[in-house]
Amino acid sequence: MTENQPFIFPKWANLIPLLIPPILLGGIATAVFVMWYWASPKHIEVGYQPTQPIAYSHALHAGELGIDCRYCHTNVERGAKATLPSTDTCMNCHKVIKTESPEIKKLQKSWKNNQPIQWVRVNAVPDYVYFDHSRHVNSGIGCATCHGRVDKMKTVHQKEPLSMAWCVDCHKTPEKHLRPVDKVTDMAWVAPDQKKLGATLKKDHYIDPGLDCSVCHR
Amino acid sequence: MFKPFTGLLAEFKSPASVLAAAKALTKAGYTTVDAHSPFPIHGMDKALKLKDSPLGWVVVIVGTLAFFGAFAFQYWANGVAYPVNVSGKPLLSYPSYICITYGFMTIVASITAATTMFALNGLPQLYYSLFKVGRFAKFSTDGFFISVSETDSKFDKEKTAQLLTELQGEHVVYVED
Amino acid sequence: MTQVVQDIDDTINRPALVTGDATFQAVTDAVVAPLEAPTPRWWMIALTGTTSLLLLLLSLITYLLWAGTGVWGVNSPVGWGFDIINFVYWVGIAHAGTLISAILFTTRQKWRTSISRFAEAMTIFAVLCALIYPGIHVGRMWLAYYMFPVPNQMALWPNFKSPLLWDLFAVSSYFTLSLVFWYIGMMPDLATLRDRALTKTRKIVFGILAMGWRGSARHWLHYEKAYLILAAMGTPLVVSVSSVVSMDFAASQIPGWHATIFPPYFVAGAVFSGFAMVVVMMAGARKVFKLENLVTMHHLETMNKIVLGMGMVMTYIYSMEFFMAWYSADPYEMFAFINRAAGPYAAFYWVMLFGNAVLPQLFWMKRFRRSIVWMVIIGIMANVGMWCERFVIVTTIHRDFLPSSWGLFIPTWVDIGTFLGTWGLFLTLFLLFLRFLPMINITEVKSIMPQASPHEGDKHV
Repeated sequence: MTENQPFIFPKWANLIPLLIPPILLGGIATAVFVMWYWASPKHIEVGYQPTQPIAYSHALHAGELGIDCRYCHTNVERGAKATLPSTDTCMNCHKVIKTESPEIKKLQKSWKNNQPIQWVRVNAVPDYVYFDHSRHVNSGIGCATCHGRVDKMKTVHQKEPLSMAWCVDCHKTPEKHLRPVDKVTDMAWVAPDQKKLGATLKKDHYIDPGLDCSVCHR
Repeated sequence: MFKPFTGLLAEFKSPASVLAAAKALTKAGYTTVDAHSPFPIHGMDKALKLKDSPLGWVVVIVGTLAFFGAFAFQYWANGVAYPVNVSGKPLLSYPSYICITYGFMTIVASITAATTMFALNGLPQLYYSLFKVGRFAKFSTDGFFISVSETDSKFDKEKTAQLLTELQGEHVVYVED
Repeated sequence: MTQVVQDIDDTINRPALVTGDATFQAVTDAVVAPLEAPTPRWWMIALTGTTSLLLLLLSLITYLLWAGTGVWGVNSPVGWGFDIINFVYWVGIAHAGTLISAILFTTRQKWRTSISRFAEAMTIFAVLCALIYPGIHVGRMWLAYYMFPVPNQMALWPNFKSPLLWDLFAVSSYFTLSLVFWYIGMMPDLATLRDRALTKTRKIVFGILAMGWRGSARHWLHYEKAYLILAAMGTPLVVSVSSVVSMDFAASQIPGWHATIFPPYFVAGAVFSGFAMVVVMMAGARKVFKLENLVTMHHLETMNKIVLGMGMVMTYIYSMEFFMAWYSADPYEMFAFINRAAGPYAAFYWVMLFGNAVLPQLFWMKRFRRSIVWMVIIGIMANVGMWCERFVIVTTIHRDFLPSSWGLFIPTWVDIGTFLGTWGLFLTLFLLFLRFLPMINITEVKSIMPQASPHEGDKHV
């Protein structure tokens, strides 16, 4: 026995196991943080602001000049897609306004060549989500509720996460966001008493968004 | 958490002699007597007047919490947070929660049993003064040892060593932490 | 209580569980010797083979991840194929370990001591193989986290009412408990290895693994309590796991699956295949590592009796299934069973019946129960039969309600390769276990030897 001595661990080795609980708890906390926030649209999608082919400013057109959203996004009340305006819509005014600006020159080029402008899409949901603009707009969900104050954005960016949790939140409690249908495109509108108004609107208009899978996924 | 050990160590030949020595030492008023054996010796806990392990109660309490926690969580997740309607059954259709409630309880309770055992024993404790004694390595094969700590109120280096020898203890050594 | 058991043992004169040179030192030496011997040549050759299969598993999983589940043979109407067949098969193999450790521990069956470690190791490795399938069969493996209740951006939680999720919890609870049980049971033995180790690496590695175990009476007190509690918790798990696995099928409304007999059916099958597997592996290992004195013929014979018993349960269930189909007077139910025995997969059905119901009957005769050759043959055939049984059950859906949607399941090379690969994983882990860990619970074997009793000499105090 004497010739084979066991290995004697140093005294500080007894302290190593004390590290196990913090490492374990830290690991779990990290996993939840990564799933819940870091890898979620809240973190990776909010604030997405691509450079557009033309430096078009919503702040100028919708904000300062007060053009209604529906002037360009014509289909928003009638169809699933709000639709982007064709070059013709722009040219209604820009045939005569600021024709010498370099940005408007790009517009004229598109018009002359009969080539649509390649706008970069900002707010998007996956293809397996059957989102319908008309359904929401006609129920009294304001543009600003999902898109933010676009009338103050020089370059459009994504305001809300557009994650499923975010959709579901409103589908559960639509009264938090409902407004009169004629105020839908009013970006600056704020309800005097959202709680009371929301409840009334929900009741009067039979708003029941539903939470079944097939409401959004078909 | 980790108890350092300084005291006397004696080796015994058989489970019977180590049990007899443990009984005699406890009778003589020693309270820090500990036996080291390759397997649990039947009756040693009584001989050393050790209190019953509270481990069972810990597992029962934590396991019960896990049981009700798992049940409540399933109801909350599938009945409150995101109500899932499965073929028109009530949201609190408890038979469908049984398997997971039980499974989760088992996971938590088994991990609790293990960690509580380690915590109560102060393990892992890689360094322990007795490991410095070469002969002590026999405890895991066929050696039976008795250790008496110097923190014992009855401890006296010479007298205790003599008592251990009288009780058929061999290779009595004084070990310092 | 223990005394009563001791008395009974003495009265009916049970065969000794440890034969030959029975000192404590000899037991330790016998178990530890293979770990301290130089690496045997056959071991290296075997490991090369099994790691090649393991590599096949890894590459096929990568291929699956890359190409999608289309590389498997599953398609409508047989949407479940090798993934669930092999999952259920491996879970079945895993059943002997905990049964031996838990049920036989709580019922104080002393003969379990020398086979428990071995069977527990098999359990853990088999559950690992089984757990691969739920992870990879989802197709989009990166979404496998859907199975766990992690807060996520969809505000969705797993559907806790789904049998597939019950399955996950059943198998992972089984795995957790088996692993904890195995490790706790092994800790004193790891201390033995630490104290005997000759090289510094082994001294340090086993030193860490043994966690400073010093066999203190105060430690044994908590240790025994924890072990007892784990065994008690494992006892219902033995029946619950395969029951829950069977609900994957039984909770659906498919003829041939929707039956209340399924839970006991799967449990009996699992114990049957698990024990047969332990017998096969143990018969080999005791020979190779010269452990005939610790794993005696008495041990093997006892296990063979359990195999026979479970084989009888299986036979009963096979006939009961047919009776129920006839008694239900449901044409689809009747067709499903006739189709099993006479349809395109009839060969699997008859192999199943031969391996599980016919061949084990030989164990009625002591000559076969005690013959190594026969127990290996019957054990292997039992496992082939059990695999066929799962195949027969899963592929029942190949004859759908409408003949227009009939179709066959034909495994692709990826299916077969993945299955072989899981064998590679299982055997690799097993070879490593045989080489580096004590394959018999030294501590427990010692504690059942007569001289371990402090009342030795003064008989029946």
